[in-house]
Amino acid sequence: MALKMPEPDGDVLRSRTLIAQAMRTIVGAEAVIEHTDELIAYETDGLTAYRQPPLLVVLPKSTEEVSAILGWCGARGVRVVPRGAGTSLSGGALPLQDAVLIGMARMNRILEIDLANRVAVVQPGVTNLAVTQAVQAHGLFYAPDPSSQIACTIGGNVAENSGGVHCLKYGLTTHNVLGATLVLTSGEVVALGGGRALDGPGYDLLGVVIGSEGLLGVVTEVVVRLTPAPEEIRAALLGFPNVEAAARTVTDIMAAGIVPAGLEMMDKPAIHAAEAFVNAGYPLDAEALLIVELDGPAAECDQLLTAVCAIARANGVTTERTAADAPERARFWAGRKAAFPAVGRLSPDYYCMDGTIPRRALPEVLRRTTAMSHACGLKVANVFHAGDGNLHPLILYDANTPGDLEKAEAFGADILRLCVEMGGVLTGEHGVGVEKRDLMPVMFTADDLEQQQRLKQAFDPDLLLNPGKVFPTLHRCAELGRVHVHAGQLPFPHLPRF
Amino acid sequence: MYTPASSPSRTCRGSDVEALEPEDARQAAEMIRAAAGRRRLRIQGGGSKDAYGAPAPTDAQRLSTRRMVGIIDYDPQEFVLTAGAGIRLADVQALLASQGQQLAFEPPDLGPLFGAAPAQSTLGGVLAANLSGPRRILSGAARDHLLGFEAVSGRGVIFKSGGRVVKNVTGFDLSKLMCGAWGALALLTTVTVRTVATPQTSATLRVSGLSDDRVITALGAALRAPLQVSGAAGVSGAALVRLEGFNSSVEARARRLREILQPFGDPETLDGDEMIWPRIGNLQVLESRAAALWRLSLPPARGAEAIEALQAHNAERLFDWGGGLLWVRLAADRSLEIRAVAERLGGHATLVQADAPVGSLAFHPPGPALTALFARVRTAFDPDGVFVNRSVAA
Ligand SMILES: Cc1cc2nc3c(=O)[nH]c(=O)nc-3n(C[C@H](O)[C@H](O)[C@H](O)COP(=O)(O)OP(=O)(O)OC[C@H]3O[C@@H](n4cnc5c(N)ncnc54)[C@H](O)[C@@H]3O)c2cc1C
Repeated sequence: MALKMPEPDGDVLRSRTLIAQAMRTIVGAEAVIEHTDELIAYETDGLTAYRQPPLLVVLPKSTEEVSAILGWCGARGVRVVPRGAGTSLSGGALPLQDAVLIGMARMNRILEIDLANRVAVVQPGVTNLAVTQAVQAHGLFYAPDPSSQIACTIGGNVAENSGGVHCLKYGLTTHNVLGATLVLTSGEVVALGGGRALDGPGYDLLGVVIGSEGLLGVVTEVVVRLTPAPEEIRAALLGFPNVEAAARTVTDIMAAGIVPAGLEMMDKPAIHAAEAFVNAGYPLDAEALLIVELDGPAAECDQLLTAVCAIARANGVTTERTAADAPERARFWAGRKAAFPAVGRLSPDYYCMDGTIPRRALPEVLRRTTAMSHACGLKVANVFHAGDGNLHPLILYDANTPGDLEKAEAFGADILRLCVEMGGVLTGEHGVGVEKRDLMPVMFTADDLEQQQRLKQAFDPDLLLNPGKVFPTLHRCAELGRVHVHAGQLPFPHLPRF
Repeated sequence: MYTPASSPSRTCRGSDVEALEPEDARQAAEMIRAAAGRRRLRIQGGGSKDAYGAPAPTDAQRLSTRRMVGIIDYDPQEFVLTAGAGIRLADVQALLASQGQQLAFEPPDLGPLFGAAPAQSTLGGVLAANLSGPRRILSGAARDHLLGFEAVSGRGVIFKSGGRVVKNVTGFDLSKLMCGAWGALALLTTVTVRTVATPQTSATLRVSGLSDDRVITALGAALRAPLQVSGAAGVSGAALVRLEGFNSSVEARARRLREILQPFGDPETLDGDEMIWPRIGNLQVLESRAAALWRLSLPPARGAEAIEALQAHNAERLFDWGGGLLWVRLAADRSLEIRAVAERLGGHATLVQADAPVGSLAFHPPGPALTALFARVRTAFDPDGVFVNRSVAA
């Protein structure tokens, strides 16, 4: 792989046995993984182009254990990478050769469901869907619903500020988390946010930690907001003869003051891939497809569905279907939800991009993406959170064809540059990770990035947490660094310092 | 070079030194670099919250945003507005209203509470204070609506963060940090906020004659139901619940709300409810100036317990956010007790308006590890402490 990661620390590599020993003292022998065969399971995340087995894996069970692990590693300059379910699409959880990987898999308990305050207190390893499953009997749900929700963890969602198809109406992770317990590389434990209250004292560090991609601390407990489940849900499937008409429909729906629960778009290649895969009944003659979901009281759904269809007709809709019942609605969604694997069937490999653009730029961005696709010879299918301008172009390639991966990556980078040029951003929900790290200067000046890195150092002065992620250059941060002496406060003074 | 404007309307509160009034980020950066190590600067928008919490030290020079007032971009179809941080909130609201839009977080105007004229707040000031009105329970706080910004750090360096789109995870979300920092980290020069369509209609139901405990329970019941409640307040023994949206929807939800509130007493529909919610947000319903004013942020179900624990049954008070926000008039010298109660209930307390000088005690002191982290965060933006720090002890 061409990716440049921080130079491994030779002392750390040589001290692997000793580090494993120290970790076993903290978490017990069964919670430390050090055999090469088993480490392979952790060598990559959802961005499978990059692989690197970690130094070793530690699976703590409590905030106290995480604190002891980080305190020990922090005092000795050992790097640490946090990991949830490893579904990151930007390489956020990619291990480093000389870093301890902290897996949150065993911190997977829902600690409390507090109905009176409409919150749940959960450990970071709880899966996203498990929260909703635990509260739906009470008529509540946890609103952010990434497509990976059966697998991805709340800790990973916090780190990535994940969204889902319903975030248009119900917000992203950052709007649905009230508090978090964070362990710093010093081993210190801080409670951020308001807990069960809406805000906490002082600077809003919770707001910064959400979306910080595991660079500021390890999240060990999260207070999530629970939302009453809507009374009714309706959906419409709308096919259009061209992308412009679909995009105009999106704009007109929003301009009418309608905030759909979901507003998704697929282009022709994505429609065909999905239809071939799940037989959702999508119109194969359409150039663009919209799925509009509305929720609320029945009266509201009826009124707004009528309004949405009228808007679509005014824009020349060619296929107009409204779901008669829940199974039909599920069929509408089946194709969209299976879009990634559906596209995956067309090609040995695909590469999922994630830029956001102002809605008005959609037709131009799709046009230019198609032109780029022709120019580089790689096909692209687009699925798109149209309501909030979040694009997911899926680039088809074959990793076994020499040069294809590089071509796909270059094409992806060009799409993201185009997003920024159109007034958008490099990533809407998948994070920067290692993937978009080197593109950060497209959006930010050196001063912008330096300010972010200074903030990073307020949390993690020695840059031990998830190094090589988010920031483009590796040395710049070190220049900002101050020398930190931890002498006299070593948590394990009897262990030799290396 | 910058020359101070000689504006007759300028009030020089608490400082003899001429205020600094940069026209843009570049000028501001020069001024901040010139001040670093020599004097401290107190960032001021409209001055409407100068007296909020701990009054700023008088030796600090004012750094005003009043000349950074332009609308830089407003595309109603994108629901995004970019403007100079010093623009009057009232001007922004009028512009949005002309397009049938508004700021969802319903920023309150607390100026009059402190004896200032109404409508003096600036957009940047409201964001920096993270001031959010009753709709926060549904639509989020000011912090949730700042999409991106340009600012000048205490180093005198211009930097930006975020963008002009809602969905954005590129780099750390510094917008959140700017909101609620009260100008202690950086001077906001340009801000981008999201806007929303103004709801077609609203309806408010009120149940009166309740104990605090019943008020909180009633509000909780409404918030537990799928009603998209956009206001849940307790005023003088009455529970008030607001619904907003399209006519058909509000009608349907109001019927359901009526059933939910019925066990608490006969709900009445308030006429002219659009006049009431600003009075709640702006604290105009608290009439007396009898004692210091406290703001308690609490788990919503525990709002009434706080009154019980503080023996504040006769104190003037207002519950907002379903009980999660309690405004209460109690003597400032009870601060230790009030803070202890707030903490025990899982919240914190801010002394918003003192009846005697209190210094830095206005804002709730966090624990030692968090205090140290706050101090390091501050250093990351303003190493020499050029900006007056009002919000945190660090
Ligand atoms: C098929 C598929 C569909 C997807 N759909 C969506 C979608 O719709 N919307 C969306 O937003 N994303 C989506 N994703 C991306 C991914 O699922 C999310 O980013 C998710 O939040 C990652 O969670 P995770 O538990 O897998 O975290 P990981 O991948 O393990 O880690 C992600 C990052 O979080 C950090 N981290 C994990 N746990 C902690 C912790 N406890 N403390 C501190 N840092 C931590 C890691 O260091 C890493 O940087 C999808 C991914 C896949 C594979």
